[in-house]
Amino acid sequence: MCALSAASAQGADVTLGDTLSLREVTVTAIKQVEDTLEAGAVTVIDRRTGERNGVMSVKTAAPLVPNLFVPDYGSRMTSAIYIRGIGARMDQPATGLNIDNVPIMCKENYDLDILDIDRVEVLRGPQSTMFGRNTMGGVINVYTLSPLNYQGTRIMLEGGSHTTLRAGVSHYRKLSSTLALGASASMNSTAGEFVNEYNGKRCDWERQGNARVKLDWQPLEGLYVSNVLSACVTRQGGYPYERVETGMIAYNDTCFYRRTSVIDGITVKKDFDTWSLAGIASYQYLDDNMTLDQDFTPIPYFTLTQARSEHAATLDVVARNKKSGKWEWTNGATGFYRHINMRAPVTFLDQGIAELIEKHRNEALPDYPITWDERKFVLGSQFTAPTWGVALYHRSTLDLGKLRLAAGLRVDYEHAALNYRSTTHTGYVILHNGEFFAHEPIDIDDKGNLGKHYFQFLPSFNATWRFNERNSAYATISRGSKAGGYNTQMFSDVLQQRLMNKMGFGSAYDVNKVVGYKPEKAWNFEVGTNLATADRKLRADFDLFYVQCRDLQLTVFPEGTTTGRLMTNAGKSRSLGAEAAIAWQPREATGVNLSYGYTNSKFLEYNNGKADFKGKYIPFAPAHTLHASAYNRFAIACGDWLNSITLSANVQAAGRIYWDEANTLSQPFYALLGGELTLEGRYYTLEVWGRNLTGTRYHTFYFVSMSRDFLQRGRGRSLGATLRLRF
Amino acid sequence: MKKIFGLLALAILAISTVSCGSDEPKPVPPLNGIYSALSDGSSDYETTTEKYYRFFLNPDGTASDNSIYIHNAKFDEKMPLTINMRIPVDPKQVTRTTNGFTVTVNEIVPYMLSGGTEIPMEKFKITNLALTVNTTDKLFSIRFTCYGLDVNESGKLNM
Repeated sequence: MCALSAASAQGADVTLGDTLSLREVTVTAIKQVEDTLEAGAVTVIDRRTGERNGVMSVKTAAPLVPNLFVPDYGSRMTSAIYIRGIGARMDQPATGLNIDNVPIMCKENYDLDILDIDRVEVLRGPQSTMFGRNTMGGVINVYTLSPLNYQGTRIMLEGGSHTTLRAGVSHYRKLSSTLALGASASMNSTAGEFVNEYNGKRCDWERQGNARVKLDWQPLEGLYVSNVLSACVTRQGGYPYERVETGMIAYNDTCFYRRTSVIDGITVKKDFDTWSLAGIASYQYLDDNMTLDQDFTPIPYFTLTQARSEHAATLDVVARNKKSGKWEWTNGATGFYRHINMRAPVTFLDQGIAELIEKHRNEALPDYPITWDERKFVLGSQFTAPTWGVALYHRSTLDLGKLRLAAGLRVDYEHAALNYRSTTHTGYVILHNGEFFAHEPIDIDDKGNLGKHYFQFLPSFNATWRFNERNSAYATISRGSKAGGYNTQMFSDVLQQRLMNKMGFGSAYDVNKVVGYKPEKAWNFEVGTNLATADRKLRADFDLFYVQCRDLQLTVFPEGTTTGRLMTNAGKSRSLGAEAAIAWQPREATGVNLSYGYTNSKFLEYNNGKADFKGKYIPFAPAHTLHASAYNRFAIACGDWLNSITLSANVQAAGRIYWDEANTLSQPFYALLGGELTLEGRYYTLEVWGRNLTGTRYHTFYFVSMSRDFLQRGRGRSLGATLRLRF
Repeated sequence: MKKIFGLLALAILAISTVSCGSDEPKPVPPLNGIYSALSDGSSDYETTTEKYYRFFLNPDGTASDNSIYIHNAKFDEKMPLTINMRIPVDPKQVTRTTNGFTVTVNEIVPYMLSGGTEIPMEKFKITNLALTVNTTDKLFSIRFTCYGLDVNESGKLNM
């Protein structure tokens, strides 16, 4: 006979069947401030919370964090992460991602599923002093289970709407008292939700496989070594863009995204008597191919391919003293090298040639119309882009009792180069009075080498007042930076202008001016407080912030033209807002969590050559983010088969989101309701869940292509179940 | 004898004086044309998006020696294209002045430079063109009507 009670005999974070080492060994927190009361605006998602909320990636963790917004659009190649209104859709990211201490160099590798996440930390606000480039909005740290801390076997099986299947298996064991090995493999597959009306097939199908081997070793007292080797293979259709005019997804040419990545990262940490030394080195390989029907219509206009292979290496050496006395210090040196080979051809098809070239030209010169030699030709682009950088950084903290003062500085140098080759071989016939007038070949083979370098000084200051061991208030001033470089996606503009120039209209651009851009910088001013009751049943974090960005990396139209864009650093913006996170656990079996973020982000200066957007809201960043959840666990005394039943519900919401700089189009505030019923036994957890239960219709992305408006629809209602086994 | 030499010297002197008086400095058109200056002072004409002019003016030459080129020409949003064009000029329409040239053209059909082919652009006919090029002060001014648009510009020369 099973007995039901509302009180649970189990602690919230301990699950029967897990084996936890009594002494937690960690090589995490290498350079972070170890005490979260002094770390500023930080959200930590532990394993239990993550599993309950289906957190398997940065994207699925985002709703739990105030002012963190990671919209679902296109494919896994595009990770537009917005923190406090600061984000990026092209080229360099504004938020850093570290997985098991390894900084992920390529933004196109941010969106991947990660099995056995132990903890996710989101540090909001510029973290550039300690973490360097591309952390202007913040840093996300993901840690996976350590086999020195956790031993056992875990199996995960999940099925859901749209024929979605996930499976994962992992095994963690100690090979000796000082050596432990963890290995995991997972896959996910979905038939897709959205239908391409042109061919009747679902376009957002996906298959992904992941594998990870983690070796943790403590060869000597005070010496820790951790090596993580991971690989991920992704194949997906992607790009479920519906045309606003028709409300339909319908395009004829192939769209897909393929990615293979391998990352190996090794962390070595040595504890000495009064200080520690850690080194984190990594090698990262990525090979991907994005192919698009660039017009996203059933008409053959043009297609784009971007195929890349990338090798990167990073090294970070950190020394810090141990807490004793009033002065704590951290010194670090870091370096990286990244080498990209890419080819990015744009193929003009029949209708594209007819409407984008012939029609445009013949309307202006009707007495001498042209016809293209062939109904398909290629604008080819190839690049190699080596980038490297070095930095030195330091942080000092002065302990004055209840008051702690910290200051840090990073000196950063980076060199970015781009070697390009743009080619096309085509031609056209000029007619007059219906007769042949002339033939013009177009042969372009442009090569060039570009390079630029930057110095950055990135300081930070923090003052923390500790009321007691649970409550504190802080103030922070920090500077952040998003790297400069070259936007290779602009080369299609360069080559199109070159083609038009050869035909007698349009300007040939200075490549360096079109594709090159300088770093973007931000100053962040923030005050906040971290509070908890004596019994820690109620915890709350609040903060207010003001961020000012300069040298925004934007695309503009050159003076006097209305076609052909170029990159520039031409704008200023500001974001101000507030964040709140509350966790209340009145009883051990009951919990309520709330996280809310408000951001008011506007342009202070931005004129793109066609219009002035001063005072307008920054697009793609939501004004509000909200996540609220509640759960109650009922203890069941029914042997090993059933220990508890948990009911939980959650709401995640975001908006208003403006889609364009002119603020003429927007997604209103929307909310998605979710729920979960969890059965838990000694060796298993079975979750039956529902997401977006009310079927709310909303959109996550907007863009314009060839004067046509497109939106990506948000995911609809989905139901599923997840079985987790552990032994 | 002395008288002969004296007369000869006077004659040489007289001839020399007459020659020098009639040989006033003539503006010599550069072989590769006279460029209008770019706003940033550079000479990156190959990759600029800025409108600029090239003047080939030689009243003593032939038709092929006289042209006005306008690159990246888009005089108004109404113009459908940004055009690279050549305005052919008859040498008789070019007048040499003490410090440059003037050009007056009533009406002419310009050519679009389409690769190696020049295409007459009837829709973009040029009327009432008046150009002044001052090679001494390195300035120019030009006005004309094209595509129904009145153009009146002046600027510096890159010399």
